[in-house]
Amino acid sequence: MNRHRLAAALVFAALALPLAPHAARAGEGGAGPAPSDSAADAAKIERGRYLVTFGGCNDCHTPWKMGENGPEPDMTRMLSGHPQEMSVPPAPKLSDGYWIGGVGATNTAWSGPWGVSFPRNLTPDKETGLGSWTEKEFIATLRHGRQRGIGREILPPMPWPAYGQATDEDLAAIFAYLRSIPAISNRVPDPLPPTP
Amino acid sequence: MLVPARGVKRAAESRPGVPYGLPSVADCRACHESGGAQVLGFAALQLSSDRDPLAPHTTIPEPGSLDLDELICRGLVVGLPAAVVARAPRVRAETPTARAALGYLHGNCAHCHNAASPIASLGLFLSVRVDGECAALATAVAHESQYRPTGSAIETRIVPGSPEASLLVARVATRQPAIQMPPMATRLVDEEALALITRWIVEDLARPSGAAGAAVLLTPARSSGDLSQEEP
Ligand code: HEC
Repeated sequence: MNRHRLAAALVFAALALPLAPHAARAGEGGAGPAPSDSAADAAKIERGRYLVTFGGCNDCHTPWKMGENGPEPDMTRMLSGHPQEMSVPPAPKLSDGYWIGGVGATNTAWSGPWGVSFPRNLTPDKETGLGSWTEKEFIATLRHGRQRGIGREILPPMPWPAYGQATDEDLAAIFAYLRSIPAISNRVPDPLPPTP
Repeated sequence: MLVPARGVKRAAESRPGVPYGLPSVADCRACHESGGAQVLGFAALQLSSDRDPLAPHTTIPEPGSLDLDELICRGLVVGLPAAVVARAPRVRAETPTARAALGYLHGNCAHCHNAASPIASLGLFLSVRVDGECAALATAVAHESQYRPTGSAIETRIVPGSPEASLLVARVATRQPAIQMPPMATRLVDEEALALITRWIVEDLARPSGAAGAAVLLTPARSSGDLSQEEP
């Protein structure tokens, strides 16, 4: 293709004026899959439950408490992230040696060279969890390490480079499972920038 | 040298002390593939020969530069709606400030914040349409934000008359990574644009006809459509 034809094609693509109104995609956001009892959905959610359990999401996204046998995830707050009411003292200062980070008692505050990050609310709560996310956005987040795929960076120790290797089908199953768990309202704080 | 797929965070300095990074493949695609056209800015409004004198960082193009008129004149664009050929596209707003502010949002934010983008579920559209519907006014002004910055009471995208209560301003005005907009590929606040957007919110949106009056129109005769890089 010569230069002029290429330019024309580009301009044409750029200028293409859509006939469909903006609203055409409005139904796509938010609400998530319609409730259905089909066996396929149940199998998908079960697969998601298996992957979430196996993938250790509760290790970081469910706050831990001291139990009879030592620290354990507090399943009454399952996957709801760092508790919003809990204020976190400044992260310990470490000399630049081998130890570069620390973790709080709940397993939901992680300090390191990236600052302090707080595992987020993965429950279907609309305002504070993943309730307003689409399946596509969820998959793109784990694939590319940015919120909804194109927003801010997802900080360590969230293992998105590992989870992002899963198939679309498995990530969609995880999302379906996360949609099926109880919604918990808990607004996880923004990460703190590194202290100089 | 080939850059690795995950990019290079500090490849050089854009000015002393300000790191310049090379984006990852996914980051390139995030910006270049979230609208209809992959070449950012190569769209009707940005190519228009009807230059906006108040546009931040505006330059006077040299005669014969490639703009929409020139492309049409050289026969390089075909199939355009007659109205677009007849008259250079322009953001028509009530005031020059509103024209520039809405044009800036269209040109710098709408390649992600448009109705066909992967994050369309947020319902924040900053694109300028030719049918008179102004996406920025309808989806940002007096609209609750999904995101709430920790420790701040701000919860509205744009509050007419009040830049300090407008989350859009707060996010454009910072380069703290968790809050900044755009979220990638920028290390410095665009002070000129920030001043423009602030002036628009204070002076234009707060006027009685304010948010409703600043509708963006081309000519009434123009057909419905979008000036941004959106595909049907
Ligand atoms: C080692 C700890 C750890 C494990 C294990 C972990 N996460 Fe995370 N996750 C985090 C942290 C920390 C963040 C927040 C990072 C930030 O704010 O930048 C996060 C963020 C996220 C986000 C982004 C949400 C948002 O609102 O931005 C998603 C989605 C997510 N995790 C899903 C999962 C899933 C699904 C699993 C299990 C398959 C999992 N995580 C396992 C630590 C972890």
